[in-house]
Amino acid sequence: MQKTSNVRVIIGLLALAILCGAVWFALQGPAPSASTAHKVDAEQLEPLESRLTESGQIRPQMLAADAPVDYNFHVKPILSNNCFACHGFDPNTRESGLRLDTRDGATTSYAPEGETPKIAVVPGSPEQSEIWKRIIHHNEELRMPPVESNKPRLNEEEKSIIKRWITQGAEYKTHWSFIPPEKPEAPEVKNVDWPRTEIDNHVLAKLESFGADPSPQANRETLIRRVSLDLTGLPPTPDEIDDFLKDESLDAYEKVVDRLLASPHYGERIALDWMDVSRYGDTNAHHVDLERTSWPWRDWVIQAFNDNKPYDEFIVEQLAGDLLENPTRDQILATSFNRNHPITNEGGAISEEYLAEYAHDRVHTVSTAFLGMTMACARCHDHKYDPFTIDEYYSFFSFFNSIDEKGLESQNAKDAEGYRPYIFLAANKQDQQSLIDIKASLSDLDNVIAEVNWEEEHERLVKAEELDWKHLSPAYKHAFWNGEKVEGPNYKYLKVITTPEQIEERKKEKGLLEFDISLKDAAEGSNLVMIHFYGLQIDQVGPSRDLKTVKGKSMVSDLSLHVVKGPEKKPQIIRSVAVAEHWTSDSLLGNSNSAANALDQDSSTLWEQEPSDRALVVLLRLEEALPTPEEGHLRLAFHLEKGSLLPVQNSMVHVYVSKGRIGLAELADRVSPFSLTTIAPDRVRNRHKEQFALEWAVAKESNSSELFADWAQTRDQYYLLEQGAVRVAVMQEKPEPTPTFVLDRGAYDSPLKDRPVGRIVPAALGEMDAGYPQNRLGFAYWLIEDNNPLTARVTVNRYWQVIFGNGLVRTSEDLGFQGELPSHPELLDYLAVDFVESGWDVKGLLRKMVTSSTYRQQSVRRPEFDLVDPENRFLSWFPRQRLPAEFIRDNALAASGLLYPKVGGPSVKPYQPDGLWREKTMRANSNTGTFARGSGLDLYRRGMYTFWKQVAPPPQMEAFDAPSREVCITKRNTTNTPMQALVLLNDETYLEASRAMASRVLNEVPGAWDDALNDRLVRSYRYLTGRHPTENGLKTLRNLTLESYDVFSADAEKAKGFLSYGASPLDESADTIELATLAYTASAIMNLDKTITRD
Amino acid sequence: MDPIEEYCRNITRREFFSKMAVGAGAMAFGDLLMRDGLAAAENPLQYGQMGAPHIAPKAKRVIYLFQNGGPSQLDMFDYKPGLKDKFDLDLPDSIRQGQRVTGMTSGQARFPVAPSVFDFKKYPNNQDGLWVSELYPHTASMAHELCVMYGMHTDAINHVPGITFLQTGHQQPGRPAMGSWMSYGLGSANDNLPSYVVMISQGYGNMQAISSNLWSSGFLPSEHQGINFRGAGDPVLYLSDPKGMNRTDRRRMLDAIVDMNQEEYHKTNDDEIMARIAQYEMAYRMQVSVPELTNLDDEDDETLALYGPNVKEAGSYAYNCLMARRMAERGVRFIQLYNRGWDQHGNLPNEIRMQCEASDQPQAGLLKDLKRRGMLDDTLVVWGGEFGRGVYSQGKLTKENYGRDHHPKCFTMWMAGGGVKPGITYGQTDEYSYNILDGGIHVHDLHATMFHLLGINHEKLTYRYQGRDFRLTDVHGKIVKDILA
Repeated sequence: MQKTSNVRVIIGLLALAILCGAVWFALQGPAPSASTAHKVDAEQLEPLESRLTESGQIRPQMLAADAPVDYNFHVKPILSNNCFACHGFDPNTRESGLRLDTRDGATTSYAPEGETPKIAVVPGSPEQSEIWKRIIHHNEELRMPPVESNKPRLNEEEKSIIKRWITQGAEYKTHWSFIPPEKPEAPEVKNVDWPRTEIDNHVLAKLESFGADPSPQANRETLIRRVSLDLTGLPPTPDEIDDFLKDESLDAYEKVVDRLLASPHYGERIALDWMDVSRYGDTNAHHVDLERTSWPWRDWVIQAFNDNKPYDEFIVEQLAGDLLENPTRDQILATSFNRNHPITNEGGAISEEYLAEYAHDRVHTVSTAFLGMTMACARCHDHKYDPFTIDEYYSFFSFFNSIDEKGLESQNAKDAEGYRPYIFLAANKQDQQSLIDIKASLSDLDNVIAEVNWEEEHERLVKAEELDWKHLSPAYKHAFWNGEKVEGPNYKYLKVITTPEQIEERKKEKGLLEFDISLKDAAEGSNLVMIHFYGLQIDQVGPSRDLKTVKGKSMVSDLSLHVVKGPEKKPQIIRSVAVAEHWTSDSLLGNSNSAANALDQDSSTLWEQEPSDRALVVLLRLEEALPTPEEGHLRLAFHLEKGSLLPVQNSMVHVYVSKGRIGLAELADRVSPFSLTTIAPDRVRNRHKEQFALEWAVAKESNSSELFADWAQTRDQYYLLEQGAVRVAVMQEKPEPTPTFVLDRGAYDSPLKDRPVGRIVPAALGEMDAGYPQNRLGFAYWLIEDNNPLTARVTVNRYWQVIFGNGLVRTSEDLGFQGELPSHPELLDYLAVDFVESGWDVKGLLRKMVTSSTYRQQSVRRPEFDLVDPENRFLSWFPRQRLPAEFIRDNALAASGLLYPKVGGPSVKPYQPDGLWREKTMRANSNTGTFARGSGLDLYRRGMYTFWKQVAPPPQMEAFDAPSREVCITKRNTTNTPMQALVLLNDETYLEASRAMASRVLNEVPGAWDDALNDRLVRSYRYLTGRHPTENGLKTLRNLTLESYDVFSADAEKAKGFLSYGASPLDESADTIELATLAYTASAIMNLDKTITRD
Repeated sequence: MDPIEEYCRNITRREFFSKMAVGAGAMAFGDLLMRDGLAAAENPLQYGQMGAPHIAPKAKRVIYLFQNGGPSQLDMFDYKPGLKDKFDLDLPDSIRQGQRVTGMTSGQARFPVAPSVFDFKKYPNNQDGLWVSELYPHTASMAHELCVMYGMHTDAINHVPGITFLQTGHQQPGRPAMGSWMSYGLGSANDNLPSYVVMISQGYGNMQAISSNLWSSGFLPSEHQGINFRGAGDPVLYLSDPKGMNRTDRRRMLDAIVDMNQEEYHKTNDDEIMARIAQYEMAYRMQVSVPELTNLDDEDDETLALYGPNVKEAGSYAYNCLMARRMAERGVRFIQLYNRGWDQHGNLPNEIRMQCEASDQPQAGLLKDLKRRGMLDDTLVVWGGEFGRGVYSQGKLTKENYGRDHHPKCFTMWMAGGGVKPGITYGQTDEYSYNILDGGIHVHDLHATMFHLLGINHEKLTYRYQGRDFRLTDVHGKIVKDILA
């Protein structure tokens, strides 16, 4: 019995293939009359199974015996699938020197010089053609394709196609999608009343060609729900439905469409599809899986669709907005598209390896998203099917590998360097402008730094001063706060404080902060002369963005140094160490410096420090050199009167040890304090290095702190603005392109130095205008050229898929040799050309689709076409389609009135089961280690704003086939699993929505329980499904409700239990039993196929 | 029989079969009915996409004990007594051969040899014995069942690509997991549970991230993705009915849903609706079968004792090992355990001791339990991490303490049961356990061999995506015939 249904599909596919072929002929070549094709009787096409490929695809080869064969539609699918892997484009795997993918290769001798010539294809003569001889060879060993290829043998039909093709002259053609589309005439149809748009002519002509007709128009309830969900992802409200039902004007439907296209939710709906394509996520996907801030880019996408930004601009800005002349903030932001890929921060990762992976990802994404081509095969060798060489692959790659980025990102989310290049986006336009201006003036100063070779300077200075700096280990792996250990690994003396609450707590405390330094590692006989302490931060403004709430001065009453000895917890002070002189970063900054107040042994005088983004640096020159090693530890103690002094991530104590000869007087004379602020570059993060470098450079040049003070002020302003801003990774080209070579077998560490590549586009797809910039921008311009054969086709095909469930080419990710053939090639070309002519008008394109008669058909499957078109590729009815994961949730929230319809903004964290993040993350370092549920309205945002942690995506989205978003995907699966049932039945989201729905109808339909029940049920049903229930449906719902009313009445605790889900307040005014009963029924309606299906 | 099921079967059976499309849901339903004995036994759907096994299968299921982080072969299995004399000597260049090391040790001035601090003992197997360190006495006691492979090697040197490679055959995310391929190829072998289940246990050391892309179905239909059974909360997400609802209440609601969905089906002829009805029934059954699965009341004390003291602690490795056996009994085809915490860059002797203590008895208990129930013959048990660890010390080396960095060039895995030769060792590494001398098994080879044991020709189980016929082993993979029973 199972076989029957397979047969149905097979026959249908065959018929489809024939029809495709027939239509193609009409367009391309020697045109058979349409009737030739349609006279083929599907029933005569036995045997059937043999025509399916292994993967279930049909080879579109069935033809009437006398019909001419078409290379693209009949022959190439056979050759590509069976022959090209060994006799195709890639010379490295070409067997026997035979090439079959070009006519030249096939028709000239491939026998080695001096041997009898062998010609694979002798046009007109199969008997003389080697290919034919080998296909039908009686010897199993010699027959093609060979056994070891795991390909099934060619069947009779395939053989006959090959034979006829050779007989008919063995014509080769360019692959269909590489031929630039031309606008076809609208085909004539018999039923002239049916078409509303040119789309309909194409669809109807095809239907009529096999004697089919379209379905009747869907009823208005269905239509408005369909189009609302398709254009906004949200259901229509009962009022909107009623308005439409009442509207008798001729353009009532068009008015609805225009209203929806103007809705801000339109942009959200269309952007959803782009989130999958552009592998959008809120974390970095690898290792520690840190949060990344990409949502401003998502906002950009939504806005672009809402503004109906021409799609060619949409492409250019995302690929190369940064390279446009005087790019705007938004144009730069757009390029975040190509920074959405996974980024690693795994400690041992090798940077070069990942830089290559990021570029590979961009090649994959760009080629799939815009060209509908799969380039990935050519990463390791020439493509087996499509005409792309490995050299061309790396040429493509070279457009995308010259970004000033890091391969290995920091594990510290606060470390800005990791996301380089990035932009800060301020909260408003004015701040944004200031941010830009200030950054520009800072960059002048930054140039000063760039000129200093600073490791060398440091080296020189230290040498000249006969100083030796030495980092002495901490005595323990912790510091002490009021005698309590504060744990932390080396160099991180203190527990990192991350929450505002912890900061507040710390602020209140007056206390003693102690650091112990072990002296035992200092060289024998050396003298400790100077202590360089780096690591406390007064307030946090700027890069440590999570700690931005502490304000106000910090006050240190005493800063003391002792040598201590004894047990860890209560060591004895052996003696105190006097300080002769001090410098602090405050004094360097030209700020008032009251540090002396901390060193004066008087705890009533205070060293006050202003909040600053910089870590506090303290240099203490000792009164007397301390001989080392000495028993015990050196203890540095800060007495805090008001403790907004916070530890920074990499607190450090450096101890400078003289080699024994230098006297203190000399030291004071010869050592510039600035030189001492330099610390070994590998020990500090770049930002701090830069800071110290600047301090030093400025001091050296001018010997005045004035300039530096300016800089410091500017810098502070910048950080203050930045604090209210977010950081988004974007593209930024390096000044010089990275030299690129073919990578042997795709390995990052095996560049073939004798095969450098330049920036050129694959030859099979045309060439880039020499006048274009030779970079991503030029590439983007090439993509949107009128004669680019692919970009517009790929785009309209994907939007067709959004609206009709499948693309005209179903493999929307692949329009290459191995992709499926279009069901309506001429319609695809019409839409592509028309789209370009319209100025890449996406709204216009979608409007054409949804106002067509094709779209307005009812969605009832028509068994009478099972044999010829079982998968409804010719659209004799409108395809029912389960909603995408996000819209299933949106529908429930919108229907129940819970939805908070705010557009854009940061991602939110609605309900999910506990522990899902923790069990998968490296929690020590990750800022997405533990899931903290959002609150308030954040729980009721649209599904597309749910925080997308890539290591553990939202489970209710995963259950409904949302992709994991690590790689570019152009089409989701639609499966049907028990997990989906469990989500809809038991997830808190849906239980809360059921309760809200019950409250809503109780309030909206007042009245006594019995009297109002039917109306309430109808209303619930209408909210969730957009329809009135059928008579039987209403009866079922009513019975269910009455039964459960008895159950809940018998046990009020059950009712309370059922109503206990969700954070929204319980409707206290309602009767608990009635509320629970209606909620229970609402839950049932939420689980109906009708509710989660757009029909 | 459940009344609603009966209803479905009697009233709509004909429709199910005559209207069934090749949609995923419909397929699953066909599968389901078939195993109920309602459909002809030769129904090809029994074997998923493959129709029938390519070769006679030896193993019906896999229990994969993945040791996440990279266990040190030097301290557990790959016995190198000669290293004792080489303490703190530099690793010779002739051995290192310029091989790349990770960013964590590439800056190290020296690569001093760190011999294992652990004592090794020889345990009888079916050859001349198996050396195992004091860390793994229970596992060692099963030496006569183990096939220990010293020559495993991989291409990845870091965790994320390493784990991804072992689990999906590719270093970058996006490809289907091994279990998904198996589910896709072989279909499901039970009515009430998923065919591919994942369980995670937390370890004692440095825990590496574990991503759900490791059990993702990639481009295969998502019904083949692994279902994560959890130690806390519902074993399967969203399994429990809400408060205030018992089975009768649920059944009543489902009956109404079925009724209305049926009506919709009759209006639209859409096969997916019938598939959805079937999936709701499966969910309903899972709500019973999963609690039954996780309820250990029917395990006797003797059995529980096999798995060690933590066996009742949900989510522990011991609990997950026992759960693996229970799933194996119930027809789950691919049972994937992740045991986190093997990433011992420093302080290895201490950390590995805890890690081993927690894993030794449970996994040995699992083997014993399978054996005595006669299930080991057709259950393939696989043990191993994403790579091994290097012989030189990462960080400071003392007689008692050292750390070890990642080492992809050789590491040890073992398999047991399911058609593998029992009680043997295979392959050999050099005196530093740094390079493979013979019997190398690449990750692709392991995959090819595992598939072979399951009756799958790894070259034939393919899926067309983006124009290419993808397979687990890409274009590689050799079956290691020497270890087949």
